[in-house]
Amino acid sequence: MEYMINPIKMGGLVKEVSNGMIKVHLHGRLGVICVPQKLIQFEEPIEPGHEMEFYFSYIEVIENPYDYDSGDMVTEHEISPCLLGGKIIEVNDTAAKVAIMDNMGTIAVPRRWMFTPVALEVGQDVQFYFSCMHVVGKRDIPVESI
Amino acid sequence: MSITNETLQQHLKDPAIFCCRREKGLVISAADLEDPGLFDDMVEAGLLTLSPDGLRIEQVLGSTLLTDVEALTPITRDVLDKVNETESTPKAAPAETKAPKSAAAPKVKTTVGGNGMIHIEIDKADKIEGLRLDVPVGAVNGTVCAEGVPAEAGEAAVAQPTGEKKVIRTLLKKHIKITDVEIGNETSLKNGKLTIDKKLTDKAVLEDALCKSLELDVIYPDKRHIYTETIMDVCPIATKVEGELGEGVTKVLDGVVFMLTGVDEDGVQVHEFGSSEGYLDEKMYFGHPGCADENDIIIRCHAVIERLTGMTRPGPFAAHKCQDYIIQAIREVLKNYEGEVVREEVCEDVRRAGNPRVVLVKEIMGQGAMHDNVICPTEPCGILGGQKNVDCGNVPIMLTPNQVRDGSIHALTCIGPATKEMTRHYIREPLVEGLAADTELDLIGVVCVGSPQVNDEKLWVSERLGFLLESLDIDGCIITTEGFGNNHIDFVQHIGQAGKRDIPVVGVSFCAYQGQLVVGNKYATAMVEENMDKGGFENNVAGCSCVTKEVAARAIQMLKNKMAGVEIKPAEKKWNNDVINANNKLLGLPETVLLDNGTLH
Repeated sequence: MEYMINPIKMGGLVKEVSNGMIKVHLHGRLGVICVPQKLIQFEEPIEPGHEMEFYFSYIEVIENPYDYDSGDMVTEHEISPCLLGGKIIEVNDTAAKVAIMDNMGTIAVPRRWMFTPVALEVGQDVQFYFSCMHVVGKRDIPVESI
Repeated sequence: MSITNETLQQHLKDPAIFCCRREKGLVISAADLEDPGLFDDMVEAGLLTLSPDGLRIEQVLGSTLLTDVEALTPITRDVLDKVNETESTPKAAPAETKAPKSAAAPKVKTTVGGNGMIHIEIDKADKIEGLRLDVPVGAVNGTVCAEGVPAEAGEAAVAQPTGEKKVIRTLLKKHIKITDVEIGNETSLKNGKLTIDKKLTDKAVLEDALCKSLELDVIYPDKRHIYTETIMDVCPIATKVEGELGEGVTKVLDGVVFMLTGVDEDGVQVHEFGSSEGYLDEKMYFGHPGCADENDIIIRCHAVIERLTGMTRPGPFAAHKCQDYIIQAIREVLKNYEGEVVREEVCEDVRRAGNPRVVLVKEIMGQGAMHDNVICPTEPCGILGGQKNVDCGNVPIMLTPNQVRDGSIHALTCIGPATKEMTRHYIREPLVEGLAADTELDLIGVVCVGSPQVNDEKLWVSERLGFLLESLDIDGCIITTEGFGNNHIDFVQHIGQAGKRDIPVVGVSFCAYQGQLVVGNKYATAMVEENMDKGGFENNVAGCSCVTKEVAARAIQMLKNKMAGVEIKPAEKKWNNDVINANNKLLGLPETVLLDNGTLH
């Protein structure tokens, strides 16, 4: 079976900021991404309600991972998709959580977001497209509504 | 993704790009080249930059690489031992490859008269990655052909229906209007007023140890600006008074629905992914098939389930089960209630021998907690007596149209508020209604097939579906899927199973921008879009982007066109709601107005 994951420019809202980590809820509540502040392209302090833009793709379980390079995950230039690796660190009946390579945070997504040739298990290697995040605005809504 | 020799022949004039890293000494063949059909998406995503110095595919075949070349790099003269002589044609320029909009834009020519059928043509496309389209369909009052297709060909291909109606079974749905709802001291129905015994919640929680508490309240149509936890499901109140599901008599309460919401003991939304908590008036697409209607009174049943069980299969199911206990108490009262029947709906399972035999395939979720459904319960839209499709191995299950219209599917509601199909959706699924009512077709049945997690399981289930379709000896089918993600793999696989058996097939799904297909095959040439979000994203509004009456009308017409043997021309490369509205206009349907919910666009 051949399929190809593609990076899509997506949006999300900052739900929480703590200990230098930013928690972003994807629009449509299709995932929760926690990344270090260094991956955010913004000069001002990040706050809940900030609207983020970034590239992301489905996550693919890989049996033979490549030698991924995260050198492009920098905020000095325009955000661009980068093929990254990671490992599954949690799986339940609903979702899976992935630790992004090089300590770049975690991504939790519903099982439907995971493309896999084998049953999901903790420790499996995955790959996906991801990018730094760019702040595009702020929504004036209660945090509990994010 | 490399290309086949067949694909290669269609793209000889397109830019030659390596699909993967290739090393010095390689003799270039189709297996080394990227599919040109993906270039637009790759360029847009920043993965590929086309070069004016890049060669065309016909110029590089059989040439030998003089140096290593990275993936997604245009092949240029300086890396080859030779360049094939070809006809003098302009080199591919980025604009031509990236945005051939004038060539790809669907042009529809209407031809009035003939057999009244509407025809569409999409040029052959063996890959549909990035295909986000409603292909052009035609007008109601005459034959419509895509440009380049002689109207005569379409007319000749369609036989006049000869099917004589034979009724197999009849279901009578008696609709009783409810004008008021109260939480009181007994469960009763009097003069259009439903009263629910508040003590029922105490008994209901005992149905499942994982359910810690239940609360009921009533939300009137003018009081919907109220905070709600995530909307897990919308469930009608209906009961059998004669016969089994799909036949006999069913009583349905109109003007009132149950809405299930839930959190765990820590306050975490049960649908933490795909949750839709917020102000109710902003979080539901009122009037859509799966949702409350504009004037419905909503009985909110709020469940608190055991800590950390929200992401397990038993946790959310406990909430559905306990709510069903309360609804069952109402059903028992409804069975004996002789209130005014405001509408009698006669549903018939019929055969129309001689008409094209068609089935509706509904791919439903089957990957675990919430990605699950209860099939064929004892009561309409109920829980008890049913089986979960996950436990059944997600194999195809055939239902009659009447069984679906009598509440044979209770949705445990997958993730994605906008694209999930809730219980109310199934009891009034527009595709079932439309196909069953169409006197030009012979609707054989509705196949529900689950979508498992693992690729091999998807293929296994899909093969079972393929042989089922083959054994039914059908002339056409519509295949739908709720949501998007890895279920698009089996969705497209199902289309392939039909296609390779020469069964005309139409696919219906949310794709738009966020859910664009990641896999395709040469049979997936006719697709109908469900999206109603302005940015083309899954949004937080329950029931926003599902099958509607308009989506169903377009899909059914598309199927007729496919069965007429008319080729279908691809729509624009990118999802474009203008195409959908052009189709709506041709069919006399209302415009698809996209909801601006703050997603990117």
